[in-house]
Amino acid sequence: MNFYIVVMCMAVITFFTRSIPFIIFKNKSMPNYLKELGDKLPLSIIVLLIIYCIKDINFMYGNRGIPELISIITVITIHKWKHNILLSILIGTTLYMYLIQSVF
Amino acid sequence: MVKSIKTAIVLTFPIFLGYVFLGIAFGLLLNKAGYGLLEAIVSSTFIYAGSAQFAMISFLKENTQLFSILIMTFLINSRQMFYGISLINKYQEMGKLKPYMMFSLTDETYALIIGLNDTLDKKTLFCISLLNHLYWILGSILGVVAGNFIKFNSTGIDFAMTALFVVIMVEQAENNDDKFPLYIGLICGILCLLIFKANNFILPSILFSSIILYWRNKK
Repeated sequence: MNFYIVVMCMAVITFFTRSIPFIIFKNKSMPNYLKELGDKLPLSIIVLLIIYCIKDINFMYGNRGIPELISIITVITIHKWKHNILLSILIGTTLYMYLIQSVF
Repeated sequence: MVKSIKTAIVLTFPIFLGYVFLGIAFGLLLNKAGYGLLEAIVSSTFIYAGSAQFAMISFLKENTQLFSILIMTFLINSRQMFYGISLINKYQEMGKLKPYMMFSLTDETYALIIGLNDTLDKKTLFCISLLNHLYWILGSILGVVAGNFIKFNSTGIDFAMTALFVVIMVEQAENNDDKFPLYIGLICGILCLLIFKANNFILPSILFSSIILYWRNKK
């Protein structure tokens, strides 16, 4: 299969997927229930994206997801305390790298 | 414009870390599969979807049929069709930049734009989207040209993205009195992960969360 045909097809599909709501509601206004859903859904999706990031951990095997859980709890704690986005992310990431490279 | 770029650079720093290192991993794998710099730049510029691009390498290796590639790409990215629902009004004001904003709506860009306060202007929103895209392209380039020379042990640096989502969750939870969507996401996510397993859980989780949130509003 030609590389560029594959890339172009995948590019079109990806753009289309991200555009679906914009296409559907281009010329008509969104019904109220969808507006309310649009307000509430992001918080659910953010939580789901966190789970998506750590979906491959196995609680029965290996490090049992302990580095992930420790680091996530650390990020939550530091962020609630200092409210500094970069600080929370730098400490969390450094801690995680240390835990999986040197401890577990 | 300079101010917008500066604001966007600060805000996108965690995504810079995550995208550059994931991009390097992609470039390295693409290179190992027999493709070069041009192919890396073209795919990261025009597809701009991490997990789909990793899948692309296996599609190419295994000579997958085009129809299967289309379906797989849609399924891998399907969670992103929900993102626009919350951004229709915000992106309405983007004018000529709107198609690009829709095109560049990755998980991280969505989370950042949703998670930040509403005071960001049009230019800053555009700079955030564009910078993230450039980080991803830059990472892919580095992966092809220098991937094999990186000696620094970067294992785990992609946690920067997880940490970004966690930070945005904390901010969103503090700004919303209604914590119900957070718990629904958590419960649906864990249950769907147990039932549908790691590779297929995200779409059913979003669907169930939406149905429950809709059902609650109706009551």
